[in-house]
Amino acid sequence: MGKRNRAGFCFVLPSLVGVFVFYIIPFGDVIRRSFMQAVGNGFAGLDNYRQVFSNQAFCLAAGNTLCFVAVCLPLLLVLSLGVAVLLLEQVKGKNILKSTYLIPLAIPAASVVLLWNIVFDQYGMLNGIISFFHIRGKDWMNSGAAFGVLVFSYIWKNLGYDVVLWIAGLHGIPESIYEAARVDGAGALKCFFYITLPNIRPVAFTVVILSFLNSFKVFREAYLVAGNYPQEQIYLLQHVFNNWFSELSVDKMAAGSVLLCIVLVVFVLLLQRSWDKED
Amino acid sequence: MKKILQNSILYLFALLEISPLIFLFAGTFMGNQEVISYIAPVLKKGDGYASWRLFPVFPTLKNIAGLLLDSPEFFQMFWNSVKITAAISAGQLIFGMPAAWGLARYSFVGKRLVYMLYIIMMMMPFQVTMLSEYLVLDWLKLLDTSFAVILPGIFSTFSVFIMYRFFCGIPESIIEAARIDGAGELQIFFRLGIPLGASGIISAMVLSFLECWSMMEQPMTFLKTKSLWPLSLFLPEITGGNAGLSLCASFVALLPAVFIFLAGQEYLEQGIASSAVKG
Amino acid sequence: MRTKKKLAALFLLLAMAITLLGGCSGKKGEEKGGTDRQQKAQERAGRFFESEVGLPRGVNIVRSLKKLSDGSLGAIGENTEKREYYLLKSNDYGKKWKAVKVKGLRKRYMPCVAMSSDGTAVFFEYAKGDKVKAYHADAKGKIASFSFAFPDKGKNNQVHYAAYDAEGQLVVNGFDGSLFVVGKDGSCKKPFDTKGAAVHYFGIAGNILAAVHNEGVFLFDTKKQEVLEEEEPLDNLIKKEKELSSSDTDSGQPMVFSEGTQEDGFFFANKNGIFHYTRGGSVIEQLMDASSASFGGNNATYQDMAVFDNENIFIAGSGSIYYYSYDEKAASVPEQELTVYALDESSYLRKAVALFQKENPDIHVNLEFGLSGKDGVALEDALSVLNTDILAKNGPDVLILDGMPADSYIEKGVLADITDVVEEVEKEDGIFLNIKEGSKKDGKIYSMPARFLFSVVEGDKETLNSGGSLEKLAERAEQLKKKDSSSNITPPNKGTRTLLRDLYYADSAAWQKEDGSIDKDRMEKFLENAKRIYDVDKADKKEDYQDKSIGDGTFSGIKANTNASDSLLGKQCKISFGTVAGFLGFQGMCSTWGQTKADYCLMNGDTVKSYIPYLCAGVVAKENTETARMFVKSLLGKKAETADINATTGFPVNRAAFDAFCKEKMDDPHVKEGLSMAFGGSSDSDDIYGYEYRNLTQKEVDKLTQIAESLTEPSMTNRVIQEIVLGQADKYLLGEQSLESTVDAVMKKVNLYLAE
Repeated sequence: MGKRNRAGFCFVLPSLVGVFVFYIIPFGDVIRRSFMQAVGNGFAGLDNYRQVFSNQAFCLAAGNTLCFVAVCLPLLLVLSLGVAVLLLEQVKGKNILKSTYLIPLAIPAASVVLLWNIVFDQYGMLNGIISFFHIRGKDWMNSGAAFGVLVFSYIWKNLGYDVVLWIAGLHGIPESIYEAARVDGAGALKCFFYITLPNIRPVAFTVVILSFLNSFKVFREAYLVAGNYPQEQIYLLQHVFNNWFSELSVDKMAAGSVLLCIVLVVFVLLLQRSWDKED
Repeated sequence: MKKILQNSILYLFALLEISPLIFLFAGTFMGNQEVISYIAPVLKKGDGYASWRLFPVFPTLKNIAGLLLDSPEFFQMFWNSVKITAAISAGQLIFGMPAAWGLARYSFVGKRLVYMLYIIMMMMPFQVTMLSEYLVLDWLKLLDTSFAVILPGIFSTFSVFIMYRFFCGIPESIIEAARIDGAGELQIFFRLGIPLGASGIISAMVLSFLECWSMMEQPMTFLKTKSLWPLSLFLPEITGGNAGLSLCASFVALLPAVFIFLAGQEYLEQGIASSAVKG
Repeated sequence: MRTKKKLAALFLLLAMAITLLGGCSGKKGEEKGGTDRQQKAQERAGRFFESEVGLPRGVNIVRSLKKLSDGSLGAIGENTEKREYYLLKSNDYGKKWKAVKVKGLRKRYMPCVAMSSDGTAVFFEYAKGDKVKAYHADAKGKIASFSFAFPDKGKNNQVHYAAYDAEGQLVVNGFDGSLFVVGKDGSCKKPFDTKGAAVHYFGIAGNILAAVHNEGVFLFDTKKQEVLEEEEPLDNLIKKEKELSSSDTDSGQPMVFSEGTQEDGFFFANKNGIFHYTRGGSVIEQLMDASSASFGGNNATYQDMAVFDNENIFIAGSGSIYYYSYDEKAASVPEQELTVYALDESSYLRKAVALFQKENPDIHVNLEFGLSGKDGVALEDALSVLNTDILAKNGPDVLILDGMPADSYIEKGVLADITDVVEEVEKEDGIFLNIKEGSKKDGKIYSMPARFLFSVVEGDKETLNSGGSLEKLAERAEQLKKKDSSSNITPPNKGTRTLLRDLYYADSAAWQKEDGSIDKDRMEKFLENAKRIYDVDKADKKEDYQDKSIGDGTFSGIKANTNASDSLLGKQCKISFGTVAGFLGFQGMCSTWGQTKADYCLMNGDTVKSYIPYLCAGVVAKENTETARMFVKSLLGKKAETADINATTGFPVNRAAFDAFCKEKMDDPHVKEGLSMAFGGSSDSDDIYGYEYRNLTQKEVDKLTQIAESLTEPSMTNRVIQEIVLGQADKYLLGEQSLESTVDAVMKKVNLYLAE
């Protein structure tokens, strides 16, 4: 390592030590537990993994989580990018609007849940409004629509988050390029696809990772509203982990976590690969 | 025409995002009776549908008074939240900032691995490492102290990740120029890195502040003594006795986060503007 | 831009201000309560041990306690049935009492009584307008009446608490927060200026009058007639623990005070323990921790406290006298520690622990309750913490498994095999063999209930035939309603949850299949029948009063007797059903038959004979489980099980205890004294009905024993399944969901749970 790079390593070292103690060691313990029995010191080999794979609840939850991410993520990205672009062109009230979008992030989960309960309950406000149109509302949280409610909740909460990040990134694209393109006669749409999108790649990586991260957090709301055994379609991976823990099945929990980790690693690697290819 | 459409979309979304805030704000000034009368259907106590009102029919300051004067736990928890959040933010600046710089501008052996590790650790949902982290904290005798929440918070790789991307965006040319002028690595970091990456640092701080302020699982698991609990765990159930009070508490709980946004935004703007010029 | 900067600065200032405010309170001189091990180590050598103090015949509760000037213990006792009052005196710390009946009082409830250090007493009646009539009783029980008027008029006041100070002056505290001294002539004078603060309650500790208000404690020297400086640690204690400052019932206060031998020092007791404080000090010394004592607990209230020689402490609370004596020779921190953990507060456990501690002074028992109720700790969180502790090998030694995933614990090997302990008890006292068998898993016992309950159906002869199954019960209820549609058929005030639980307890055992799943058809039938029964009197069932008082979360629902014999008596229903929670409930039920001519039978007896296991004890598998096993043996043993014949915690599993209770109830001393009557009134009419408790007949005892012996299956105790079923069933009963979707939802969720 060159002297310079050694210095770089020193910058990272203190943080690395902390991360090692508080994150890597615990995760190491998780990996260890995935090969052991729940209580006591019996070695279990690949048994836990086998159990997890054949576990119906786990598969259901995994499927749901995947489905959720596959639906929410693109939806959120597109919506937030759209809003960011529109916002950029605003002159009046831009700041106020931006602040407004960020507000949902500040609201504590418990209050959000309270609100959702009031709105989406069988006798809640949504059904109340619908009844005006003489349509019978249903119990949103206990039917297939629960999935939709969760998606809505996720997008509602994270829209601002992504918008702010997009804006920070959009700012980085020099106005000069746009001007040049406009002189050449490019319309708004062409500008967007050929200038904005490509130049926004670095930020996009961040936004995707963070939105992905936040999609896990939606568990909090689902849990507070519907408890440990919610409607089938909003039964997520964290429900399974949580319940396994309540029943002391930490061996399965550990194996499941390791599997999740592997999937995440693959996902991130793929993402990075596609990003780096362009750069 | 297009302008009007754009505007309306933006404002519509903004309204949607902000509605819970208005909800909580209105509720702060409502007496218990009134709150119950509106949400009775959801509590299975009334007929029809739940409703709400922008301006309470019988505005009262009872909730605010009750919160500020009658609930010493509120202050205690507020102080705890401030303490924890401030400590974590400070720690992240001290440890996370250099780490992000090191990862962004240097390449040393194992950098890729460290980077991957940081991302993976960031993505793990809490349930996965909860038990193991508990054991580690127990072994370090940190359980049931504020440090059990503060230390892992400081080393959360989330903020490192955000700052990293912004540091990446700084052109190498400027750094090279400084090196040619004879500046040492530390000097470069302090004189160039931090100012240029300011927008990223602020963004990371703002987002991380949010995380800390609404952190729920960690304090609940690692802090047994109630007097150490942060505000996010304060919200009592909405029952007949204290409906207004808990709405008021929710509202007050989110105020600091909102303030931080408003304050941080300005710096965000400045940072972005200045980096755009350099770009 | 600048305004935003200003906003930010403003916020920072505000935050600092608020945090300073908040930070200042509750920081210095705090009372260290609870299980603070370091604090305990600082205690002087020796420990306090609990003993029972019996009450003389004819007295069933104690209303006031006082250390008399001649060194004896004085008390005011009451016979609640006859409304008679007695002046009690004991020279040997409560072993023998001399009782003098107070003659001439009207036979009514005296809301406030107090004893003076010379053995005389005062009795207050309810105030009429601003005037209060009172009686002064001399040592021979002769009364002289006097009256006084509240100094602050027009407030609809009542006397809240009264006590004599060291000068023999009578200090009275009104519900409106006023504090004044009542002279012999009925004049009222305020001893000091409370500056507008309302006094919630007070105590007398020698010369010191301690008056508790919102922000702390006023201290007043009654001898010198001067206000003393406020003590910060006391004020902080009051400010920090809100429950200690309010007292809105007339059943007692959150704290009581007493003088000790030390000048400027005094004792006080509250739900956290017994403490001593010296004026001018900076720290409150804890002498005893209430967590494993009988006088502790979140709902405890106290009347009085008396301390002799700093080593013999009496506390009058909840009608009883608790006595704590100091044993120097006992190790202050005993060699062995045992942690017993239960989710729900239980006075039965407290008594059992106190008993065990007395018999094993070298073992210290740490009794922990996971759900302390008011803190808003949910069941989930308590279990998380418990599980983490167990996995970290830090867990308790004995678990009371109600509300816990016992099956998982057994599966994962967390619990030790206690078959030998059970068999030891069986050899010594006998155990209900059916329950023993019902508790076996793969031939071994890991969790043994200490008590059990069962559901019954009560009514006339035809109704009894319907006790065979839930369907027959529903049919019978519908039949009765058809005959008389205007009256209430099923017990009133049973909301959906209570009703469902009663039926669930009787039926769920039949749903369990070999592989652990539940039988869909049987569960569906259960729902159908429950709805039929609920619908019979649907109109009256908006509120679930019983459930509110019983509490939610774990199995606290079965502590109460949900069988409504008195409603049957009061003609508020035609059939009654529910759980019978112990001998008192059973005796009460039988006693009503004189008037109702009813009888009872086991609910759902033709389908499955089911019992409800309660207070299931398990030993955590560790290297050394000997002390834990000893405790469980004691818990199942005759002494613990016979501690309170009238406890509503089910029937004892211990055969000897059960038989002893049967015998006692056939020749009940309370019945002899004419002490037991029950009254009730209905909210609809002005009728008051009542019945006298009577002795059980041999026939009744035989039938009870027979039924108890015939119960073969424990009802499903798995909390997750119960919550799923009842949660969905709730909606079905209330008409929010169809039968189909309810069954569907239940099966889906249960299968999800089982699949995990």
